[in-house]
Amino acid sequence: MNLKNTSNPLLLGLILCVVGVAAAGILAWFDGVTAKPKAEAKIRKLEQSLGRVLPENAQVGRSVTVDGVAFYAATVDGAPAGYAASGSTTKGYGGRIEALVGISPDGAVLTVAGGRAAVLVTEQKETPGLGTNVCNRTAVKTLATVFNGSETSGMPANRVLDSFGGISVSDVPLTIVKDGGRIEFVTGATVSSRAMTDLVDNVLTVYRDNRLRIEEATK
Amino acid sequence: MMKTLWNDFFKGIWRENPTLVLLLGMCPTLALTSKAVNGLGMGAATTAVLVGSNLVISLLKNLIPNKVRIPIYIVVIATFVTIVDLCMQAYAPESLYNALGIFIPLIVVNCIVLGRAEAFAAKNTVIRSAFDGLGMGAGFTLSLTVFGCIREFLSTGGIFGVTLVPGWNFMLPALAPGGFILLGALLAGMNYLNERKAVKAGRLYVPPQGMDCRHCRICSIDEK
Repeated sequence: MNLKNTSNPLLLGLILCVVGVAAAGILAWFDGVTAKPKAEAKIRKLEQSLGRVLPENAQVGRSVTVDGVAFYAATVDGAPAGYAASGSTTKGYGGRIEALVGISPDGAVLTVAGGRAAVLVTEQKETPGLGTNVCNRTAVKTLATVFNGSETSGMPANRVLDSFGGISVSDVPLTIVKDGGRIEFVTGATVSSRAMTDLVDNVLTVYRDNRLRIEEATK
Repeated sequence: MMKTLWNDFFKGIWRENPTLVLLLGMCPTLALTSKAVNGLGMGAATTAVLVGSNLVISLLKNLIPNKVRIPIYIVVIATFVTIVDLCMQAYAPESLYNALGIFIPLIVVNCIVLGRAEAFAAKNTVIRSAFDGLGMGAGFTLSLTVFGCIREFLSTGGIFGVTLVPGWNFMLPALAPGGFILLGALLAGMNYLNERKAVKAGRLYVPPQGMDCRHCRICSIDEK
């Protein structure tokens, strides 16, 4: 059978229809096959990043979203250990920045393994080489670490993000050193540094203003 | 027979390299190769789509009417791209999917895939088309990875995330303008090598015929 030179409009329509239906069927079947691993990957991703901004051995419990900030309650051996708050800002140089901030029950940014402040950027579109230096915690790998296999614990360092360590609700409003505040910044990436400051500031403000509500909702 | 297949495979790597000779698929080439690992990932994803769409289109080539072949090619390609996208969501490392995420759906409009479907798969046997897809994919992957290595080394002083020159930080090669400049240099180098080879053999270097815009039938659907 050779349909190459057919020009019957009904037949052409029929062939297009068959191809479309077949493609839709294959995709529907394949979507079903990958549904479970996809959901698992999503949960694994969230759990992984939550674990990095919370104290060791913390159990993640219920969550509540207040004013656009999602708070995940954490407990260590049944006692409240604070929250992992997922906040965002639109003031980045490339638009939206999303980050997880670990905060203690009394509203201070947690310090986690390795003395790093519990701030982890989960989504950003900042300028490579400038804004990304503000947002990314990139482990420095050298040939020596590759061949010797060095053990690194916790998150890699980041000067700007680590300067949030210990900052609490009483320090709000936060500003960078250049604007007379306490938060470090990267020269040439002032906008990104200010955006990160705005993000943490927003998370702490929401927590300060809604503390009782958040505690009630995540009990 | 084996020689034809080997030729179908190998031409994609050098003589008809998709990015460096045919100059198809420039969008992912420039947008994604600021890191070597991104180039490798994008190349692998495109190879999977190329082989799949080449296989199916050469299998159905006698059932696809000429008048509606482009929409059918696009549907076949889009199906494979969606399958690759779903697989990556489910199984790929998170950092790779974050870096490539928005570019995976755009493989649908990558000219290499449609170009090979039209120029090769629609005219040749299933096995030859599969080898053509593999070769083109390998050439694409190779050039993207090499380009990614060059850009990553010049901007961060390392390759594949491994720092070789500590303290090196130079923004330009990682940004779009640097990408254009380096791509130009790479193309010049490729042409120089090919030309020198031709001159040594006493010939005049001619780029592959039947591969440039004048010979592609996609834009002239109504003719024939």
